[in-house]
Amino acid sequence: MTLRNLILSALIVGVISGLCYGLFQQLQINPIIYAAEVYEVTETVAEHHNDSAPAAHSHDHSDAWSPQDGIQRIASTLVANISIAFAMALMMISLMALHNEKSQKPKLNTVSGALWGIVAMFCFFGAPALLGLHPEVPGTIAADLENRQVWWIFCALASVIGIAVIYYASRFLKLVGVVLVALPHLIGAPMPELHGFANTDPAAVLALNELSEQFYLMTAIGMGILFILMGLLSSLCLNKFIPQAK
Amino acid sequence: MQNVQQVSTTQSTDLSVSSTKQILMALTLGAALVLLVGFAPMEIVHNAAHDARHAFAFPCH
Repeated sequence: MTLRNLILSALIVGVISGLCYGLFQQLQINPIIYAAEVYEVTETVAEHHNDSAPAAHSHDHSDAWSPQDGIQRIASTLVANISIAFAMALMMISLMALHNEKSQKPKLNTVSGALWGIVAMFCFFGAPALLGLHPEVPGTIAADLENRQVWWIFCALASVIGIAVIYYASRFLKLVGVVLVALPHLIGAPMPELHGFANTDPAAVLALNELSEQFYLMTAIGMGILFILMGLLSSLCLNKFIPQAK
Repeated sequence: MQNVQQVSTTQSTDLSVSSTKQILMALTLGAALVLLVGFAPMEIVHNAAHDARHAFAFPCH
């Protein structure tokens, strides 16, 4: 029963919070992505000139299915929003259930639920993105994709485990938690040798810089909406649908 | 009314898998799905989730 209820609760939370975030993204974030992509076209061409090996990423030259601009693209983005929100809600509700079942600390309520949301935002957005790799508009020069992905996952995991240790462990062990949270940043996010954009036209750089700033702000606001809503709804669902083991 | 209650109580007792294990399974499932939608290198997944990956600030490109 527990597993079924966890999945169903995460579906409720994921669909609601994912849809809200998806709507916000369509209105506030996608216009920025589309605007940045105007400058990206040149990048793919330049990249292909310099590099004879096929690029790992390309919108234009591959045979793989890609959503067409318009309703297809909006729909597939929404599906992805909801899937990610569902997956994150599933992790959050599971950890909350584990907390209620195992911990001596106060049980979850809506206030602590929202706090969990803020902590999750730090672990999945604040630490890996704002403090680390930075949110990127298309066309931003960045380090090797695989290194960044590994660092991102490492950073999120270290943040989650570190904060859990700080919260649950006894006095001196808390220090280990602090070290864990700091560790990814001491190692440092993989950064490109040269910051900037693939498109070096001064007008494009100016526009992309401006777009990047807006993109930072809007992703941060969007993530705030998503995670606080997710934390709140998760705690509500948890108390309503997950039977507490004695 | 009483009947309904009886049915639901008999269903919810006697778990064969401990609830902690079920919680851990759900946790793993969630993590796997994040990795698939946000990080999988398959081009078709990347293309479909492209805008969402950018908006979640997952490394993309």
